[in-house]
Amino acid sequence: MRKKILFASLFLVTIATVTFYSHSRKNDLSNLMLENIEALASRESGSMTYCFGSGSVDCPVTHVKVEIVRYGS
Amino acid sequence: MKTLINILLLLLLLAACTTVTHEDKLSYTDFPETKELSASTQSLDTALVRYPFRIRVQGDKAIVMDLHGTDYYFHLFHYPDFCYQSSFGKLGDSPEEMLSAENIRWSGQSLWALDANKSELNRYGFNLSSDSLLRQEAVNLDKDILRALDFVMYDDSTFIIPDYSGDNRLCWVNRQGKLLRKLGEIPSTNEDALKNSRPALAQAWRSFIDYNPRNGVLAAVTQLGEVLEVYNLKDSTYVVCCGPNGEPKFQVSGGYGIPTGIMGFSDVQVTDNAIYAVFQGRSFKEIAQNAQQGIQLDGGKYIYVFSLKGEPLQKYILDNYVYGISVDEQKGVILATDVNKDEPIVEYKFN
Repeated sequence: MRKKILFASLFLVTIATVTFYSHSRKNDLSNLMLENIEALASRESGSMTYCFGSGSVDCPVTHVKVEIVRYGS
Repeated sequence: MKTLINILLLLLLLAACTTVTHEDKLSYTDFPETKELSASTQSLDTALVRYPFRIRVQGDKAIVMDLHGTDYYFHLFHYPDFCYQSSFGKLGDSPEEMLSAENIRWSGQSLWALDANKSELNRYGFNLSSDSLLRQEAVNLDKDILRALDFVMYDDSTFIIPDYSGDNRLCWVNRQGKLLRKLGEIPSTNEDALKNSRPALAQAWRSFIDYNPRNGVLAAVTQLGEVLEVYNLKDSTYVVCCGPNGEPKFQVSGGYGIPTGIMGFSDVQVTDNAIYAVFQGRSFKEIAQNAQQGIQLDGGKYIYVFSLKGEPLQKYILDNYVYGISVDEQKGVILATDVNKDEPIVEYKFN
């Protein structure tokens, strides 16, 4: 029984690893965007300013160069 | 009588303090000539560059600026073979290191580099063997200069920096980093923003600049929208040239200028005969959709050529998306940086 559980666990880990690597390249940019997400409450209203990705637009909040600057609640 | 003389003197004084500038407004919908250009890739013997934003060539030296450098912002290559020589402008918090890099400019045998996050201009000079550059001088910029995002050398002792306050367009700064004077106004038709949101307007009108001291022409192109401004600093004339995408579009949120229109120009160079500017023209909506789909197409596929008076002359359609350019009119060559590919330097022949 123990051997079966061990085998099943190894199988699941292998599948997860293969799936992760096959998608990681495709999701590079999305991951980068999530990593680089920055947010700060605005000074005058309840909306937030968000800066995404890696680009050349000067984020007014973080002063980092990003791809997209957006606002929202 | 005395009052009249005083008024006349006051008027004379005011006239003396004001730079007389002849202003002209142009608009264009297309270019008289269009030409497709094909790139030849310059292979580098190293893979150092992550986001090659600017390229500067002088003699047998080429420097590539990496906007998102991991260890160093600048990389020195031998030109034209692009043999790697050294890297400099180390990232870090220490006084000798840099927090950010916005642009680089040759000045004789020296190179100036702007660090916006430190509000500092650094001068680098070659070592004895001319294969690396060492920091020789740092100029701390005046607190009145809000967020310097680009610069040019006006002469040996003066820099010009775009104004980020929204009150003016350009700042004259001396070698000690002190603000000397300001010039121009944002040529926006957005009356509400001009009246109530100048800092946000200035953010949206963030422009890349270049200056050619031989003809006295300074060109500014907007990163958002499609506006070229030409200041002739020799004859004090000024031209605004607006393309089909118009002026930068933005929304004010929390005091910030949030881009809502298109990515416009990404670099500009004033040569002896013309103004060359890289144009993107993609909407932020499209950029966001591409990012969601994992499509990375950053940079512009067009180089627009204008006369020194801002008249549209030629449109080059490129086979790559490029960011920074280095134009050599005599050789008929444009070197450009491509942030999307592993081989970051491409060359276009346009003659």
